[in-house]
Parts: sequence; structure tokens; C-alpha cells
Amino acid sequence: MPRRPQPPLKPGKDPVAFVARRLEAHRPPGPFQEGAFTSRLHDEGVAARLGLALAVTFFTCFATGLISHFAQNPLDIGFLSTPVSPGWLYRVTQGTHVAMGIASIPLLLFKLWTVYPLLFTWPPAKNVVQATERLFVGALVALAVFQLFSGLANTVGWYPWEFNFVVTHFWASWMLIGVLMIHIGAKMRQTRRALAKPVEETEAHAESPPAPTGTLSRRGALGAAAAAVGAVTLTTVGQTFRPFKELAALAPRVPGIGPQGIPINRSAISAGVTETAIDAAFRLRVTGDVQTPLELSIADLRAMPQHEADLPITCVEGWSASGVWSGVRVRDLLERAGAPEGGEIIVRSLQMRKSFRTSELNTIFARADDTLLALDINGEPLHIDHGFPCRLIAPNRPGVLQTKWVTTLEVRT
Amino acid sequence: MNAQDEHLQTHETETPSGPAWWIGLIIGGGVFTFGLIGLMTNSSQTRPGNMVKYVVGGLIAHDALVAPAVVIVAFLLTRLLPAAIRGGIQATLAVCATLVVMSIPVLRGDGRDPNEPSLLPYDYPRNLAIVLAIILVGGIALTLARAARQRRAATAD
Repeated sequence: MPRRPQPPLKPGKDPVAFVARRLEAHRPPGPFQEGAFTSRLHDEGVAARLGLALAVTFFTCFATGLISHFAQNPLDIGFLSTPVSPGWLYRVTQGTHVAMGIASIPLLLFKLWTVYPLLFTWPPAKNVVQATERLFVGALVALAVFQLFSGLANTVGWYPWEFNFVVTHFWASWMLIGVLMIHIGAKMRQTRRALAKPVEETEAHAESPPAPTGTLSRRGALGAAAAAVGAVTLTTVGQTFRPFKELAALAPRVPGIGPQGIPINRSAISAGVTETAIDAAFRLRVTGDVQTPLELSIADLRAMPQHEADLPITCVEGWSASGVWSGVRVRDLLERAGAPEGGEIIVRSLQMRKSFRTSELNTIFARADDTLLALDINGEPLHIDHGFPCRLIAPNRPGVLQTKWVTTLEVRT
Repeated sequence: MNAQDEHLQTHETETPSGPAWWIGLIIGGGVFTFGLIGLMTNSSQTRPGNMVKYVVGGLIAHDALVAPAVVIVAFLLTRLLPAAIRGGIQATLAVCATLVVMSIPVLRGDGRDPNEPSLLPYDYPRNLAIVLAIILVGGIALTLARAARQRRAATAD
């Protein structure tokens, strides 16, 4: 074996640079070869524009995800508390969360394809700063794919994994946003440079040939990405945006389809309440720190003043549907029981399954005009799948907290 | 090496530097660490050992399966299709491919439950076929119309 000339190298301050210089002479075959990727679309002008779009969708998903998190895990710190009005707010933020997540799927696929050749850069990193940056890019891609996949799977109730979706999706989102911030900092200069030029002129070399007629131009590739975003959005957004309902051919739930025209997340059978909910001995109890504990039959509830509220059921999975609910104000029940001001209410359901069997109402929500124990929807008694004999319905609140088959309101001070 | 690849090489070998990089690294690193700590301290729910399979699995699924498949298909189309319609067909197929990827969960229908008929109410393979057919017909029509327009422009010159 012929002796290779020893490169005059010593492991200096930067071990990555030392290794990189040794690797330079050993370029692997295939995609690692120079010129292996010839498409003109693997380009920083295209990458920068798709990256900018992804920054918008990812930060929007993060912000709306936090809103949803704090709606379900209230901070109760003044201005950070979830407001009781407008009643449609959560419908908009959560609908946006899911729609932006879905729109991110084509954006991410196009973006990753644009930068795919960079995966085969040789040597993989030239110094320790580059190695750090590229490791975080790996984490960014992996976490982005993970968040979009797990979120999408959750919208259809597909859980192939062992972890708790909500908790894991929440913590992974912080990790994802962290590595995204690092990536934005690393690419800031390059992105600004690329965005300053029209997309067809981002070549570093003027002699680069113009696109032959008919091949996909960079502008065409961005157009295709936009068309893909449009296609995935139009076929799903009708799950929350009613005017597009007829187009929602690929949405997992559609307003109008379900008992009394409203989809459900958990049926009476799944909740194990098919017998208890229709039992004539059913009583609603108002208990806890009250002067007069109440036990009310359905007839007692109907004899109280009835109020109407036009409110959406908004599921964290991204669908929503409105209805006109009517029933008794929670506030009236609390007053009748002599509950003190300022307590919070634990709402308990008949359901057997543990998750979301109870929910909490803070003082502000419990005393809002539109917070009802609903008995009817759109003029009919509630379908058992919607929580017959009575369910909680309150403004600006995730669907999982709109407790169905309510049996107890427990006042805590 | 053509100019395009040389360009790629030059911007890849750029080493991050400057205030934006360091600010991003410090703040982003802090946010990332916060998430990682939250993930690890809630390990009974987040099951990091199981989660990491999906995180790494997603990366491998993209980088080792999806992306090479796209490269191969794009390469074949470049060989098979006349230049005049190549770009339009590639764009049309790319749109279709992303729709298929997005539809995988509804096509599998794992969440379907006879007790909950309002979840996954449609025949999704049929719906996807219709949507893809519309996009294919529309994309091919636009591509042919553009090719014809360019041919007319070329002969008029």
C-alpha cells in the first residue's frame, strides 16, 4: 500500500477543523460528490422564502398552542388569564393552530427538498461552530417532522405511540421553537441577502444558464408550494371555517355531521353513561362551600329561568361547530345555593373514563352571562352524545372542558 | 461542478457568526433547554425513550426515504418528459404528493370508532382520488396550455 503523504496537521484548538481537514481527502461517492444535485431549485432564494413562510406558521402554531395550553391549565395571573369574551376567540386561535400546522406540511416538505443536497456536504462541518449549527439543524428537522406528524395524527385520534400526546407536544414545541431561533440567528445574514434579490436572480454566478423553456423555474417551485398549501388548506379548513365546509373532503370532522348537526369527540357509549344519563333518578347536585346544597331534577332545572347562548364547540383537534344552547345559568345555580363570591367550581361528569371527567370554572367564567348548564340545543333536548341531560357550555373554552353529562357542581373557596 | 452547485457549496461553508448567531444561540438554546427539562421532568407522561423513536424515526423517514424517492422520481421525469411540459408536470405531481402525505392519517383511519360516527365520516380514499384527479387534470391542462402558448410565441418570432 503506497504511503499517503502525511498532512501537516496537529489537533489544534478546534478538533472539528482537524478532523474536517483529514476528511476532505476521503469524499464518499454518490450524493457526496460535487455536482450530484443539478436542479436549479436547490437554491437559497427559494429556501429563504419557504423558510420565512415556515417561521410565520411555526411561531403562529407556538403562540396559539400556548393559548390553548393556558386555557386548559389556567395561570390565573391577571392579564394572562384566559378572557371570557369574545366567546369565539378560542375557536379562532385553535382553528388557526391546526390550519397553520397543516399548511406547514407542504411548506416543510418543499423546504427540506430545497436544502436536501446540503445534507451531503463534505466534510460535514469545517469547524466547531458549524458542527454546532448543523447538529441543531438536525434537531430542528427531526422536531419539526415530529410536531407536524404527532399533531396531525392527534386530529384523527391515531395514537401509535406510548407517550401522552398533549404533554409531549407541549414540551417538544419549546424545544422546536428553541432550535428554530438558533437556526434563524445562524441564517439571518444569508436570508436577508437572498430576500433582497428577486427569486430568479439569486445565482452567485452570472454565467449560470437561464432556465430552459418548460422546466420548473424557481418562481414556479414557489408557486407549486403555494398551490400545495392551498390544496391541503381548502380540503381541511372547512372543519372549522363553515363557508368551506363543502370542500372539506379530507377533514376528519365536519360541521353538520354528527348528532343534531354537531360532531362529537366522545360518545355516550365511549364514556360509559348510556344508563346513568337517562336514569329518572338523575339529580344535579350543587355542593361544596355553599349555604344550601342543591339536588335538582331535570324538571327543577327546566323550571328555573332559561337563557340562550350562541356558542361554538371548539375541539383542540381543530374542528368547531356552533349551536344555540339553552338552559340554566351556572351563576343562577350558585346564587340559589348561596355560594360565596370568588369561589371556583369543579364540574363533574357521570362519565367513567378518567380523562376530562372534571373541569374547573374560575369565578369569572362561572359568573359569565353565557356560561350555562345547557339542556337544549337549537330548540331540541340535548342528544345523549352531546351530554343529556345537561352539559356545561361556556364562552372561549376548549371543547374538552365543556363537560358533558354534568352531575355535580362543587364550589371551592 | 456547475455554477449552481458551486453556489450551494459556498453558502453552506459559511460559518455562522455575528450578533444574530450568538443571540439566537443563547436565547434559542435557553428555550430548547427549558423544553428539554420539561420533557424529562414529565417523563412518566412524555416517555422520552418512546418519543425519541418517533423523533429520530421522522428524520430518517424523510431523509432516507421521502427525499431520495422525490429525487429519483424528479430525475426520471426529467428523462421521460419533453422539456416543454416537464416543469408543469413536476409541480402538479409535487402538489399531489404533499396531499397524499397529509392524508395518510385519514386514509389509515386508525381512530375510527363505531361508537363515534362523526369522527372520520367520509370515504377518504374516494375523496382523495377525486381531489387528486381534479389537481392532475387542472395541472396538466395548465401545463399544455402554457407549452402551446410558448410554441406559438416561438413560431411567431
